[in-house]
Amino acid sequence: MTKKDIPVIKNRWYFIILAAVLLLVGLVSFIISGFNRGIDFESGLGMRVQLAPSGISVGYTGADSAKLSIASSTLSLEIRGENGVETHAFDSVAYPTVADLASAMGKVSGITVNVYDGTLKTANVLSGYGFPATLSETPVVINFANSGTVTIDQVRSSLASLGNVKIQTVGAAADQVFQIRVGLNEKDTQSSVESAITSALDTAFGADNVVVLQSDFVGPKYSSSLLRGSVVSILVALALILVYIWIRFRFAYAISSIIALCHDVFLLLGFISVCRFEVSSTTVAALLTIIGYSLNNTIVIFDRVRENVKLDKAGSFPAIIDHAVTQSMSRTLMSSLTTMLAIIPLAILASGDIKLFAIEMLFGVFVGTFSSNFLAPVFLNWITAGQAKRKAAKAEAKAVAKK
Amino acid sequence: MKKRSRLVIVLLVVVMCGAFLYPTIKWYCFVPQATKDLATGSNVQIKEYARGQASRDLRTLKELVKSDANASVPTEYDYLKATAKANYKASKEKVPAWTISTLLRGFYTEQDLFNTIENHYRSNLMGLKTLSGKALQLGLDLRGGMSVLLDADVAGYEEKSGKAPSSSEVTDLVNQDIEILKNRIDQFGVSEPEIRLQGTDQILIEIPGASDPERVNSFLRGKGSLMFQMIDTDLTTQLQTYFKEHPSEVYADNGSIRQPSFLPAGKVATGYYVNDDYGIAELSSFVVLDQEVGMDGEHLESATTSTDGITGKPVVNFQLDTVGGDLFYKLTSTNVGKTLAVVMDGNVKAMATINEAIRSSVQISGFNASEANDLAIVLKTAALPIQLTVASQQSVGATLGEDAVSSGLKALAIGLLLVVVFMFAYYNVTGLVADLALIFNFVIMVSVLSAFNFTVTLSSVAGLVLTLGMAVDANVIINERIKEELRNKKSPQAAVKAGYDKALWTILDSNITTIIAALVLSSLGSSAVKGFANTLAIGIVSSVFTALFVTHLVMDAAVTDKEKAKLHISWRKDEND
Repeated sequence: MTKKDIPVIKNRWYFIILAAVLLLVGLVSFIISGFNRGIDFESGLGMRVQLAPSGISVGYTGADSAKLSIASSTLSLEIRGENGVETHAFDSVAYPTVADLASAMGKVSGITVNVYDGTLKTANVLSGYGFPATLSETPVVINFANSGTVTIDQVRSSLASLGNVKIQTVGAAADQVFQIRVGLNEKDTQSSVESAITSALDTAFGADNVVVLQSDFVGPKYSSSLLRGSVVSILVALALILVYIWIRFRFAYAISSIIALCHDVFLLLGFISVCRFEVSSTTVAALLTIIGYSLNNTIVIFDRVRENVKLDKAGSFPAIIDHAVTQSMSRTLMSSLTTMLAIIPLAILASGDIKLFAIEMLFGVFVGTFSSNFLAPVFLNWITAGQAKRKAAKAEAKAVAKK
Repeated sequence: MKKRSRLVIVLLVVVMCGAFLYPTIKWYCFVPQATKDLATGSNVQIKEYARGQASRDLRTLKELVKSDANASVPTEYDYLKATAKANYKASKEKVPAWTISTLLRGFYTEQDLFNTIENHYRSNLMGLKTLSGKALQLGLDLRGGMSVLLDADVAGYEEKSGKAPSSSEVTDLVNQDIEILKNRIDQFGVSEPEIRLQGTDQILIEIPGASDPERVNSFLRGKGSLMFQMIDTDLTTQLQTYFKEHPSEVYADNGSIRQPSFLPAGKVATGYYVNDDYGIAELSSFVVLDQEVGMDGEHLESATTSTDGITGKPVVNFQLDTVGGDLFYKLTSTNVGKTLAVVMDGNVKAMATINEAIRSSVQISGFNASEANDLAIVLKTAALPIQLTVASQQSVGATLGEDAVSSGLKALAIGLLLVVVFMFAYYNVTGLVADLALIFNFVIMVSVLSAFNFTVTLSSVAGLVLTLGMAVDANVIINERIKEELRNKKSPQAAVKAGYDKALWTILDSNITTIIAALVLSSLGSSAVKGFANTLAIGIVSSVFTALFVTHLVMDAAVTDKEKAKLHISWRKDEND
């Protein structure tokens, strides 16, 4: 071997102290503030709304049935009558402003258009709840995203009457997209909470200016069963993995890799607590993926250790471990790098749960790489040494007994 | 394993992927949007559309034959020739040269022609609908829509009935709820909703396209859909003869039944529907009803089936509340001898002759056991046998879904590009081999996802992205091993062989443990997490396959028979041989 081996075993205390300090930080944060439990684990209603000015309202007074749908900034109008189906499409290229759109739509027979603000851009059309809409004499309001000045505090004060409400801004503040979380009181149902939120927002910002983009409701029974299921699934995964490594390797390998895994899980949980990330079922997905991923790394290294032990029966175990870690180092780094490269765009471009998932994965890959290179081998060394000592002690005791 | 058998396996997988992906490619690339919209409608909507189109085509054909009977047949009606030809042959006539009139004479009756045209439209759309079921579908979070998980209110049922139901009883009750909801949700329109039992006491409803929780609440409450109305027997006979004589006048283009001009005000033409073998309500005859509602179904308290003690024939019994009893008495006492119709959502579901004035406990007879059962279900529809509460609900507007698709695709593309470039930058030509495996891996994943009818959700996109990064891992292990062997002064051929041999168990061990984690994850309830776990598991299996088979083949081919061949596994000169 030309290169010198990385002295993993020699520096073991540095690694262990580093891990212990980080774990302690996580623990302190958990004790002080706990987790920011997401809707999956704390029943309630989550709603994403966008405050956007209404551009036009569209009504239909004809005898047939008219349906309006919105997809990729194109408005499609479908009129089904006895004489066939008529479809009209209005896209943002042909009709760049709302005024253009309104005058074009108004030409369709039976359609009445009322313009609130013709200067808005057709490309920013929003379709929240209620679309595709069946048109009738009661007009349907269509909203268009526009930069606005409503602050998160204004939204918060408008919902103050609901009690325990959490609000976050999604994306840039000017986009006016807010994520609202409301906990459940006794006797609250999905529809009662939802209508309470919408009516509060409607009074504060005008009924025609609030677009509901998304809503999630989780009832109390569902959330508690999900929480139980998540904890059980993590424990089951750890147990199955322990058994598999025990069969394929040895007990010492299995125990030390499980210790490293627990380190990853707790450190990631600490990270989530420190950053106040929402804990949801995607967090469980991140945890289990990191368990799988970090273990993957650990096994590649342990495999090398096992191989080297066979090749060099006389060598000292710490030296063999150092050598194995060094041999696997470029592979470990490469595969961590490629994984991170793939996730980074997701962490930047995605939003909501998936963004958090990507960030947690990035952190987890980092932590997992650290633990499989520097923690799992150290524990393997200790446990093997302990086992050897006990064996030797037993052999000695036997020898003494024979005498 | 021999190289040849490895090649055969790789080729088999390629063929398999092609077969799996065919419906997806056909559906997304070769079916026009308008047809897609029609084909994704509910069975009822498709039937209505086909009826409407058939009515229109029948009218057009009749006009054509009037204006020029000897004109050649327009190409869009070519499909009628096969049936006409068969009919000519069946009646032992010579098949004539095709003109409009000879084509039309090839059909026994106008109704026969109408049925053939309707069937053409319907089978065409149903075929496309089957295709769409096989194609890879976007999940509700990506195309907008909502999913609701409903819990059976067992405690409430216990309170009402006075006894605790066993878990199998709860499942039976929930199944009855599902039947009822299926009937109610048809009014929801748009695309076909999915309603299914989850576990033993939950119902999952998924409605693509529409995202308005208020509407779900309204059909959970489900009021005012059941009516009792009187039938006008004389007008019914008149209507049936008229429609028989004029099949093209029966339906409007949207498939609804036309209201002929001879009906006086206060009377409506509607259809009598009987459930067919597949549980879809089929139109069996036409009926004229008094528009005035005799009694609203909300007065119904319970409905059961039993057999008549004397005749042994099945009967349906139902109980009315006091207000309903008074109404019903008034209705039946003034209409003895006439026919009463049970009308749901405007369609007649059952008819019965009134023999005497009845107050609160009603018995209807005169049908077979399954009809009686159907009617009992219809009557029960007024109230769910076990109440449901919303356990969880997720709805996504279309705009957000579109944004998610575009950001997900962008992330996927950028991630793929970064990994591909990085692998080439680090491993030179061998990196490109790994890239090939990566892309092949991606194709396998997508085709397996579409073969098993997994819908693509945001979380499965995350799974795809993650697997991109992890998929090259197996190749990294192999390449690092080969590099090492090369450093130990082995020939490229020997190095490749040793690299793959030594890496085999490392790769298997390390991936099996990740699969364990993925499988445990996929058994966890939440559907979002399931999508991720399934994608991850598929990705791991296919990445192991591509590393052990595909790249192995390419690498072998690169070094075989050329003992002196160079292996470009790094940009450093000293590591390349």
